[in-house]
Amino acid sequence: MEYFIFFLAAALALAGALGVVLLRNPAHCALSLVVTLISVAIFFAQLGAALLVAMQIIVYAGAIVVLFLFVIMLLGVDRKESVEEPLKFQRPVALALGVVLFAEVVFLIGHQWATGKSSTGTAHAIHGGGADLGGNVERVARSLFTDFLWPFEITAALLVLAVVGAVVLARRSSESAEAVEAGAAGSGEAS
Amino acid sequence: MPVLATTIDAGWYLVLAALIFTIGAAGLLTRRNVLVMFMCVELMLNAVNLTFVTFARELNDIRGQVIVFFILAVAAAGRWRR
Repeated sequence: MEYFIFFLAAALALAGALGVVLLRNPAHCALSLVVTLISVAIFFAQLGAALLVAMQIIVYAGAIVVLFLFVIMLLGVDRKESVEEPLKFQRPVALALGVVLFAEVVFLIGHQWATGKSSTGTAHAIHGGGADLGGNVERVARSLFTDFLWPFEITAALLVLAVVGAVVLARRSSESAEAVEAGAAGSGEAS
Repeated sequence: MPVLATTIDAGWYLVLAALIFTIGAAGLLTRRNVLVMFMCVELMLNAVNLTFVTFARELNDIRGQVIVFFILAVAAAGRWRR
């Protein structure tokens, strides 16, 4: 049963990923991205990361993809890509580089010096390991608010900076658009 | 260990994450649309997240999941670039 769910979700994840890369319409790409994201959430559930399942679905599928679709639908960037490429050799080179990258990563997976996976398996159990520390959410929270408190605060500052920057940029561009419109109207009246 | 944890070998997850990462990288190199390139970056981030969670289970170390939390937050911040 575990393997059935795993391979079903794996097939869905790969199909979604290929859909993102191969489909022409950006809206279809965003929808196949949702398939991949929810499949990854299934893997998180299988791996026992209950908090991350909820976060994956709420933050990614609920916020990021909706924002993607929002931009695609509102700002009219749903033009089809041109079929001809400015660089003729780009696609085969990208494919070859992808195959090389996959070979490299699979090579690294098999080596203990790259993954740190010890053969005994329990050597790293000191950090949040053990069943006596409560469920997944409590373990993540305890680690997040003790060991990772400073990065957590920096993340908060980063999010505030991103929001402020987005507002400033949006305002500036709309002001310049208004200035252009005003200039065009003024010149139209003058002529 | 959590109730839902499975006995599936970690290698399956790692190879799958490598495949998703490779597809995302190839898409990033080939697509021309900026939005679709962002989606390919999201694919690569998700592959890395899957690897982190796999090793969090494999090494019984919760810090892998905490780092995935930060990756999610930074990816959400990246959306505001538009």
